[in-house]
Amino acid sequence: MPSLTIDDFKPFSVTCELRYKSAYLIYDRTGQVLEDLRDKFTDITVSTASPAQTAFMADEGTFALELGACRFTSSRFDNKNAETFAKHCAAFFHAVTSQLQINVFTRIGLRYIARKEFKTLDESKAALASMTLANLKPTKRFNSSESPTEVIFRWEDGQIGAYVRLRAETTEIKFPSAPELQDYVPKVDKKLHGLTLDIDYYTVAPVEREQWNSLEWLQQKIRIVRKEADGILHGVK
Amino acid sequence: MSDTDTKIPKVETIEPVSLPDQTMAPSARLELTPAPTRGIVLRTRGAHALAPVIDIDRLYDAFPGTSSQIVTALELLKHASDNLAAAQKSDSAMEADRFVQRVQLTLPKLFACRSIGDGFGVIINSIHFAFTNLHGTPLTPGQLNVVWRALRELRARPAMPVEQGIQLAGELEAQGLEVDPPELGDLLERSEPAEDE
Repeated sequence: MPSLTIDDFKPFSVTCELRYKSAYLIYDRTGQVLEDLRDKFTDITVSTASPAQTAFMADEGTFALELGACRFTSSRFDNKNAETFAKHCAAFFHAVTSQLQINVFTRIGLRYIARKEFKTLDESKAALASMTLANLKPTKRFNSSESPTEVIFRWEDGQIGAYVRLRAETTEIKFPSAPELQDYVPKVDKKLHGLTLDIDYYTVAPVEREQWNSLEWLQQKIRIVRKEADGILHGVK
Repeated sequence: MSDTDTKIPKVETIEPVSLPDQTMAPSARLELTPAPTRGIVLRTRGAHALAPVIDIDRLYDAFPGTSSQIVTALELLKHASDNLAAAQKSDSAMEADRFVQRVQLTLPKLFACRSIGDGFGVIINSIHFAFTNLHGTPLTPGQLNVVWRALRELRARPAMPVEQGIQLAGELEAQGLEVDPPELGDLLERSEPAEDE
């Protein structure tokens, strides 16, 4: 089986998350955060709201604001629009950190999830097995399958950490159409087989707000994530 | 510490497409078999507020050859503060001035990186005009120290807000450095008699 590259994987979702000590101003200023975001994301709407957790949706992506974390997720990420993603994150995080007066981040994480589809689950498993990511000989272990269906790595020191997960899996998409809409909207029941590449690149040591330029950091880290993932898929480095 | 979460609080409407937990990874937490610790909490990794903040070079760690404005700025700031430190230690006034001149040469390159932050632009502008307004007069030891401290602070916190930049510019002024453009000074001088009239 020819070796895979990062370009074989289609980005599924990309998330940037900030964590911080409980920001109690969330109880007073969530509405102000939304007002600030309306300037940048004109069609933004609230999808769920509770005092300590609010979710917003816009054409650009989804936003979550919580007592101890906030995150922006884009499901339309294209490798060519990393700058756009970074700009959306920067706008969101600026609104949150300014309104909630957050000065230290306990963790900054970038999560990149991508998928490569195969015709069958067995093909996905074979692709994963062909990478020989771990030094284990293919033999039946724990009275289960010969080759692992999921491989997880984590690298971490006192400053930076990274987590990589590769999993052969089947995804089910189900859309149960309402009875009165069945003539207009067809029911969807589909199974997709593939290999999921899930990478989390994060800071371990606290980061001061004055240290972090989100625009620069995100673009730089997206490049690192893709380059390192490519190296892992090729079995180099 | 758990992984970067991708979950969005559940929308209370019928979602058009529902994907199972494994693919969406909404919780993103590894579900390991829990092991009781009998009241002892073992922390093997994770950030806590009392820990020292991240090393700026590790935060913006990049592959060699990466064209990143912040990486360039951090390198230039390191050279500048190293040169100022060398100037402070130097016994010869001539040699110290040579080190300071090297710092002056990096300022236009640092100015090109001003989009990193508003505070960044304020400090680089202030130091540039401070040198311009000195008209070649060497920096006093106090001035050398304050410029060195400003550049070091900028390297540690490159995304500082404008207020912090203004505060540092104020420290430069307190050491007798004029941080405003010379033309602005002329304009102010001209406007003062007009106001008196």
